[in-house]
Amino acid sequence: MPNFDGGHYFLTALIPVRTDYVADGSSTAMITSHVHALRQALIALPTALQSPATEEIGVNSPFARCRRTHFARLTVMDDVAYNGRLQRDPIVATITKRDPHSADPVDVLPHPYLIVVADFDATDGEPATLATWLRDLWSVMEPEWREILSHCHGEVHDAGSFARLIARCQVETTMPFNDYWPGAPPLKGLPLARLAAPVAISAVVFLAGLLGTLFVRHPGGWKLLLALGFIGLIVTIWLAYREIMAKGALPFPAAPRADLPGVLKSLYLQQQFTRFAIDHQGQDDAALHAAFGEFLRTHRPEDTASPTQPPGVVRV
Amino acid sequence: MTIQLELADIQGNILSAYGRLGFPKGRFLLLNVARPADGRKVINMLRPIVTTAVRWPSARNPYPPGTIYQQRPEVAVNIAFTFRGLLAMEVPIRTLRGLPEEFLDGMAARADVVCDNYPHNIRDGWDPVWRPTIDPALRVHVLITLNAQMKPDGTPVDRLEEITREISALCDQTDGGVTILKGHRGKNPAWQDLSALLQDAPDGSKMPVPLEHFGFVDAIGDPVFEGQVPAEKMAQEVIGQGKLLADQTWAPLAAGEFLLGHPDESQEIAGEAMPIDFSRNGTFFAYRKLHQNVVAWRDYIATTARQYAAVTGMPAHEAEPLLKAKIAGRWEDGVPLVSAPSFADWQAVRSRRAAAIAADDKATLAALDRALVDFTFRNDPVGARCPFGSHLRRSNTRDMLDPHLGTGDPKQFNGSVLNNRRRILRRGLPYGAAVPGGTDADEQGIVMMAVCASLFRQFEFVQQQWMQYGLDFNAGNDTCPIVGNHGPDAKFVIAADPASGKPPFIAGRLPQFVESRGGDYFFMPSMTALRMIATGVVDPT
Repeated sequence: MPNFDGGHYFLTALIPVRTDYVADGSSTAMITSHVHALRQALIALPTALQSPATEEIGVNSPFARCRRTHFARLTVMDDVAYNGRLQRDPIVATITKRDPHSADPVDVLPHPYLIVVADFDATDGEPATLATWLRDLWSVMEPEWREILSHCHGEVHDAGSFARLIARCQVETTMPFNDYWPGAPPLKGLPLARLAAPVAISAVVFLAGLLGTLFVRHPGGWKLLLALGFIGLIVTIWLAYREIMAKGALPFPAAPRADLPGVLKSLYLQQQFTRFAIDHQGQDDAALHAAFGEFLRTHRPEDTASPTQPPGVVRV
Repeated sequence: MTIQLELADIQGNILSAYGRLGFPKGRFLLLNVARPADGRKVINMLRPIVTTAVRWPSARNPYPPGTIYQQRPEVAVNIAFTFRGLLAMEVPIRTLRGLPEEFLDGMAARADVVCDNYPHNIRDGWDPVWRPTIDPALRVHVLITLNAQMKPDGTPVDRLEEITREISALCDQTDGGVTILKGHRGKNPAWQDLSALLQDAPDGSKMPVPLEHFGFVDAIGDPVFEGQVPAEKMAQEVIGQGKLLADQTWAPLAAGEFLLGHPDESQEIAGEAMPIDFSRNGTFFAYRKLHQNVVAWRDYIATTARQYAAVTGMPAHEAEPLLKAKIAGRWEDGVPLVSAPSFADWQAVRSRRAAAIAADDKATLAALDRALVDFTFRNDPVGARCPFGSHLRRSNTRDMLDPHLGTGDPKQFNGSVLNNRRRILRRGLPYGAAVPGGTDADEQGIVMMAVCASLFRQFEFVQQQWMQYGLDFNAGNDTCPIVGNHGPDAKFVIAADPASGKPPFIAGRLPQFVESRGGDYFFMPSMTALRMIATGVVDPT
């Protein structure tokens, strides 16, 4: 279930945008389209504070109010891009008498979509887990979502209807990515011997049956062995395949301290420790010991709540 | 068949730096063209004195009698245009639309790409003549570079003043059609004066030295490309300066990396502005006026060297030159840290050089000069000798980005393949003099011209990704310790050999050493293209 991986839920939702018209908030003379008004609303949303200059502005992304959200992006997809005519083999086309002038169909979407992608801290990939995050999100940025979703299909009037709409519009995230493991995670390899042994036994039975059938004058029992081996091979290979695929579908384990408070604290500590290292290089052991004690007391590495880096600030 | 460049078609200063050819003085003028016909007239009048890449005989090796040869000029003259300059000269739109977008933008519009809006916004930090303006009469259109020989007293030859007056008179005759733009900081606002640093010779005269204001020997390594030097010299010249092949031998870079209209390192002739004669044998360069905060540099080095000595336990007289070498990647006389990692190693090289000079041992001197560039980073995988973040390792990464370098298996090596399309030719001269008792408000720095076929792929990439960022060097956001922007927490990490058990040293709170003071992106046309521009016959059809 790729929606959930490494302790994070990866949400992808495509919400259809309305195709009727809407009053233009900036003009009494003109009306406009929902997709235009939606883009206007999206561009007015503050982004995360990604540089010292934006940090001084101090107006942060509304997603920073939710302490479970690592990353969120909203964008509008107008249509799918037409990739051009399909490749045609001229020899095949000639044999099948296909008219080279006939046009390929050009498919289009019925309406634009608002694409919502986000990844957030989660314990599992269950629908209820998604719903709790969506309810959290609604509680901290209801006005923004009301404005955005007023241009989309679907009735949203409270946290419950918001969570239901997003869940209905969800598509599976097929390639989630996160990278918080500093080394290799403690993953167990596949029990190759246990998976291979039944296959090997079936193969031996099958081969014995085959040899007996071929070389014994009255191979009645050997034929039975051959059939048994054949069925056994299919069944054991299928079982092994199923177990391997089931193991592959298991979510990657969460890295230690890979939730948002943990990541923010790590970034905070990285900056503070770099400064500490610069300021105290060359000191004798006693002074260094005392200074590091003070560092631990001041920056409390185990306390992810504070002091820490504010969310929505990109600073390393 | 190796490429034979048409030297008479290529402007001088591309194949070799004038500073090395005995032109230690410079004067750069900027023109604005208000009336296209006048602009063409002025350029056409100057065209016969434009210096090309044709080699002139040296005094020691005169050509045989009867040979037609190029006399060495007293002042080398070269002409280049901004995009707006080409537009002002009425180069057809169909030609202009083939020029690359970064050139169309110009350097001011790319200030955030090349990180020039720090520590000051370019509108305040740059010399007035370079600042972006909406007034068409103040825009930079043409750059005329004059590189002059020097008199024994350290002043430029008189011809420099004559040519300046001639250009000025040509502009005056157009009655406002072409003007010399004013607004350079320095003694004369009408031009940028430049000079190599000078030292007193034993006979009392002045002699130029290849130093820059921070005290380093400059302009040691420069790319070597096909056709750049005579074939008989190529085998020597490519070592350490061309590209490193997978088999660890050196070869010249493709000419198309530095001259338009020739095959480049991707084995194609890149799309250019048409007609091809307009682009072929021309090139682009970024003009960079870089101010150097010499006082800040000296103060920081002195303070930090004391800390460095205390932390590492090395004698103070070794810590300062070593700290500077770690920052630059070379000792102040140019000896690379990779081959002489310790103070004692450096001293050994210096005494070899001193002995060779005393004995007039040319072979040893040549070998020592070659050793300045003949090295790779293969034997320094963690930067214990030459730090990853040093200026040298950032600006010319040689083989260090080879993903298979760490395998130690020569069969898997890729050489400098990830570096070959990021090379620039560095041309230019220092300006001003860092006099004792001076301040950082004084005019002192260097005008660098970064010459390359693609400003975007070569100059801007090196500037943005390698000078102003550290990801390719596992150095996070750290910028170049010399030319990078240094925010409040800027630092430079000097790695220690893990086997030594010693901690690294981190030079913290780097002040801003270098500040951008202006410049632009220029197209330096071939002599053919210059003729077409000056006579208004560029025909893209």
